[in-house]
This record gives sequence, structure tokens and C-alpha cells, in this order.
Amino acid sequence: MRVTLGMSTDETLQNLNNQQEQIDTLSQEISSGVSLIAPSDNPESWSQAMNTTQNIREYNSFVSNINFGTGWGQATESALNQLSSLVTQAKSVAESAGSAEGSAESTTLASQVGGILSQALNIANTQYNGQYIFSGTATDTQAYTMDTSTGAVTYNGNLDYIKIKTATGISSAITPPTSSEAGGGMTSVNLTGQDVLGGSTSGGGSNVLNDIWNLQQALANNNSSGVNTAITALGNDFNQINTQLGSIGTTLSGLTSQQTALSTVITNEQGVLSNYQDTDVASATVSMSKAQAVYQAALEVTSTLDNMNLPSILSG
Amino acid sequence: MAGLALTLNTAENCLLNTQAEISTSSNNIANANTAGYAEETAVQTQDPSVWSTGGWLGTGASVTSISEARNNYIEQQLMDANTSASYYTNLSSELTTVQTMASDSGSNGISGALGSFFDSWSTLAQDPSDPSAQQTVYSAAQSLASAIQSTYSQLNQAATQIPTQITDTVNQANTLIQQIQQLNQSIVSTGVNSQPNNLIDQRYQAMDQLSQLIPVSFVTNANGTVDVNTVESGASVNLVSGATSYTPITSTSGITGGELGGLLQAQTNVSGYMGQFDDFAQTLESQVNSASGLTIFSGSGASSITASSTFLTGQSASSLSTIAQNMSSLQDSTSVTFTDGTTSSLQQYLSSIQNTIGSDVQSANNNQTYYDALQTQLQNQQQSVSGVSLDQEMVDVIQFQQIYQAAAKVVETTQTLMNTVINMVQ
Repeated sequence: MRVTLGMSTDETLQNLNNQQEQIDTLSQEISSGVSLIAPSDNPESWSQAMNTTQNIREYNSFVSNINFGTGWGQATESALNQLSSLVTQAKSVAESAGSAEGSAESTTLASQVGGILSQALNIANTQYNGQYIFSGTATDTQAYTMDTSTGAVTYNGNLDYIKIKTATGISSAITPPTSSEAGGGMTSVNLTGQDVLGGSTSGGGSNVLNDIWNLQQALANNNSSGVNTAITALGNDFNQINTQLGSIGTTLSGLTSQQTALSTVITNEQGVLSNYQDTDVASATVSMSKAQAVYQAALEVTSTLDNMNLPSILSG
Repeated sequence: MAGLALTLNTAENCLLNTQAEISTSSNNIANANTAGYAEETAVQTQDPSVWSTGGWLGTGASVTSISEARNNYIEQQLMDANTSASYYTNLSSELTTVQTMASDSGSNGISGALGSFFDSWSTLAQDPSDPSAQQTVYSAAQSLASAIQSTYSQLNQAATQIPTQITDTVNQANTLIQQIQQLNQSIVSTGVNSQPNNLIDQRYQAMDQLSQLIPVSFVTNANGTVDVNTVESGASVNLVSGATSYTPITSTSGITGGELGGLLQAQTNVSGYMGQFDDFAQTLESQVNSASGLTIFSGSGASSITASSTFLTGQSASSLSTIAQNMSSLQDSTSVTFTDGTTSSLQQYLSSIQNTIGSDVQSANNNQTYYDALQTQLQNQQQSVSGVSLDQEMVDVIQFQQIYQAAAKVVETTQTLMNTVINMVQ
């Protein structure tokens, strides 16, 4: 093939340019630590990396929800334990009233029960992070108010459950809010006042606070049949609270196992993401030094070629 | 009539021929780096012989023409490669810009804003009546709307710049088309037999440039002119008809190759991407509003989507809790139907847009690399035929120098012989 001036210069220029481009890409990959700089580097990996990034974000939101749920559950658990021991105390006061010998002693017992009542009311209005834990979803509303003279207990919360997302999933069809069924990765973290204390929202029926108040009244009036009724009622209350303690325990252990599973999943996904987008520094460095060697060789050849022509030899 | 005078005459012609040849070599060396230049050769032919004692006697040689080294077949192939390389170079450059503007890595851009939007609902679910959690939902919704709007308006800006470039390219192409026809006219008036090499070089240069803008094929006529054709909507269309006439192109001619074709394709692609973002915005608006039962987003499409700053007002804690639950379901739903008929999750639709843009850029880049290499290879072939080899010129010059010296020696010897003859007479 006849080799002319234009050929050798054009070819040299293009080859040097290609080498430089390769070195540029590699140095960008090594310095940024990321091999996917634009979607065009690898469109499939890029979109997978996007989805994985978003999955990790969603999993982290589950972790934050689980932490919230765990804190809430622990606050509920400790409130129920205290309530349970108050009910036990009230019950033992009532049982000791059977042997009470006079109205003076009964009055003392009644005031003791009064103290228990106000503590129980405080527990019913327990707050976690400024939220009333027994008010359903109306967490900014104090759960219970009580008129101690009439014994009327008012539940100010609602019967809804706070549902947090702790796993991927879809709860039924996406529709405007009409129903409130759980499922689809949702965990319900709270117990409503009604679950814990019994009774109805309107304040009707008998709940733990009513029962304690009734005991207080029976003791104050020295009404022994009233005290006996109260003992039975408090026994039922104790069982009710323990059942709820069991249910909150189940929720808490469920959250803990979900968290353990999630941390494994997140670690895996981060590994996947890293595979998609991180530079394999070792192989990039090797490629870089190879490209450098080739570039230097190309430059040397170019400078040698520069002198290899007849005119320069003839002119000595 | 043979004799010393004939010898002297032959030697004189040889001196003149060699001068022409050295001059041609000198011209080749001077134009070694000139674009469009083809190596020239002084063509010598033998002069007629004369009858002399014993037979026909040669009378030397004359330079009859200065020819150019050109190969039409390779030149046509090179122009085709020019067209393809230029198509992909322009497409790739336009789309790479667009890719940067629409960039979304999953942790920033629209995906990031969409993720924060869903996160804000997840936090609200923990405490629906918390004003600061509600505020986070508002600002996340607004960030999402503005992320969509800003991406869309950047794409729109890129899209509005392409037509200007298209107009420029069309004007350039039309200037070249007219220039080729004018050069055809000059070549005809000079006369093809007089070898107007510089005009032919200029015309080649113009066709070479034109082949970068639009697809070009050419036919050389007997009178030295060329007909130039292009391809419009799959059919061959004449642009220059010899020295007679030329037909300008327009941006709507249906040209699909070269720089013009690349720009037109980029325009189509960008408006496709904009359509996808528009679909996303419309679907997001309708899905979010329907899942929440609230008017969270309003506006029509990606250009005007906005988020309300009061949509949570008046909602009870329990209904907010249910809404948050529905939003989390929307986040995980993979059966969202988009206005273009696709069914996927909101996030997957965004990553599929990036996949589409990335694939388009990648394919344009790969094709560009391939056609650049092909172009270089064909340029080499063309240069192998038409280029100037300095080594060859130097060897030629040495050869011409020796011939010149030999002819001068003949003149010197003949002069001595003539002197001898004259002295004989004295």
C-alpha cells in the first residue's frame, strides 16, 4: 500500500486520541470510585442501580418505622405492667377490706384506692414522644378524662390503629380511604384505650378506671357487697391487661425479627448496588497502567516516525 | 531530417519537460497538506518519429497533460462513511447533553424526590397529627413537583435549540450544493481537456463537506461535471444536475442521514423522552390524588405539575393514617398503568426512562466509534491513492535532476560537436 503524508498523520492522531480517551475514562472511574457515570455507560445496570437505591431507601424507612414501633411497644408494655400492678394493689386493698373494722379504717382504704385511681388515670394517659399512646390515632388528644365525683370516664381517643409499614406489600386495592384493614406489610403498633381498659368509647360499660372508682365508692360507703363485686371486676381487669401484655409482646418480638431480617436484606442490596456502580479499583488500576504504557509507546513511535522520511535524511 | 539540430532540439524539450515535472513535484510537496488536493503527475508522451537513414528516429517526448490521482469508487465510499460517522457524532453529542439534563441516579433527581415523598408519608403514619411531619409531606410533594418541572423544562430548552442547528445545517448544505453547481459551470467553461485540477479539487472538497451534512452520491459526466444526488424519504433525489441547475433542500425534505439526519433524529428522541416524563407526571398526579382522595397534585403534565400546600388541612388523624397506608401501597404497587399503556411501579417507570435514554446514547456512541474507524480507514485508502508521498516526490526529484543533468550533458556534447563541425569548415 502506498503510504502518504496525510495517512500517517491522521492515523497517529486518531490512535493517540483513542488512547487518551481511554485513560480519561479510567482516571474518572478511579478518582470517583464509580464506574457508572452516565446511564449510557451501562443502561441496564444504571436502571437496576436506581431501583436498588430506592429499595434500600424504602428498607431504611422500614427500619425507622420498626424503631418507632419498638419504642412505642416498649412504652405500652411498661404502662401495662404498671397498670397491672395497680390493679393487683387495688384488688389486695379490697380483699383486706373484708377484715376492716370500722368506717375510719374503710375511709383510709378508700383514700388509698383513690391514690391508685389517680395513678391508673395517669397511666391511661401515658405519652411516648409527646403522643398519647392509648388514644388510637388521635395521639394529640388526652386519652381519658374522669369526673372523680360522678365516676364518669370519658374516652377522648378513637378506635383506630396506627399502622406503620415494616415490609413491602400492598394492602388491598389502592382506593380512597374508606377502609382501614391492615396487611400488606403494615404492622399495627398501638393498643387503644378500649383494648386495655375495656368499656366503650362513649364512656358506657365498665372499664378499669370505673372499677377502681366503684371500689373506692364501696369502701367509702362501707358497702361490702360492692367491694366483692369490685374484687370480681378487678380480677377480670387483671386478666384483660395480661392478655394485652401478651399481644404487645408478640408485636414486639415480630418487629425484632423483622429488623434482623431487614438488616440482612439491606446489606445484600448494598452489595448488589456496589456491584452495579462501584469501580473495581484493582482491575481499573491495571487497565490504567496498561493504557499508560500503550500511550507512551504510541508517543515514542510518533516521534520516531517524525524522522523517518527521505527529505529529512537527504538534508542530513 | 536527422542531425545535430534535432539532437539539440530533443535535449531542449527534455530540459523543458523535466522542468515541468520538477515543478509538478514542487506543487505536490507544497500541497501535501492541502485538504481536497490530489497528487498530480506530468504525463509525458513520445513525440512522433522521423525517417532517417536506417529507420525511424525518435524525437523526444512532450508533457501532454497534468493528471490527478483520483479513484471515484473509493471517494464515493468515503462520502458514505462521512455521512454515517457525522450522523452518529451529532446524534451522540445531542443525546449526551440531554442525558446529563435528565440525569437521575436513583438517589437524586426525580427518583430521589419521589422516594422522599413516600418517606414523608411513612413518617406521617407514625404520628398523623404531628405538624412537623405534615410539613415534611408538603415540602416533599413540592420538591417532587418542582423536580419534574425542572427536568422537563431543561429537556424543553434542549429541544428548542435543535431546530436552530437544523436551520444552520440546511443553509450550509444549500451553500455547498450551489457551490458545486458553480464549480461545474467553471469546469465546463475552462474545458475538461484543459485539466482544471484546482477546480476539481475544490469541487471534491465541497462534496466531501456536503457528505458530512447529508447523504450524497455522485455521477461524473463526460463533460467533467458531476451530478449530485441525495436520499429523501428512501428515494434518490437530484440536487445538482451538471452545470445546469441545482435544487436546495429543506429541513422537511425527509433526509435521514448525515449531520441533518442526526439532528432530526435527536429531535424525535428528545420529544419522546419529554413525552415519557409527561406520562409519568400525569400518572403520578392521578394515582396519588386517587390513592389519597385528596388534591395533592394539580396541573396538566410535567410542564405544569404543582403541589398544593393545604391538602392535609381538615383531615382527621385516622383518615391521615389510612391515606399514609394507601400511599405506602402505591409505593409498592407494580401495577400502576401509565398513560402510554406501560404497567409498572412509579419508580420502575423512572428507571425505564433512564434506561431508554442511556441505551440510545450508548448505541449512538458505539455506532460513532465504528463509523469513525471506518471513516479513518477509507480516508487512508483515499489518501493512499490521492495523497502526496514525500518520499516518492524526493525520489522523483532526484530522478528528474539526473535526467536534467543528462540532457544538459547532451546539449554540451552537441555544442562541442557543432564547434568541431564549424572548425572543420574554417
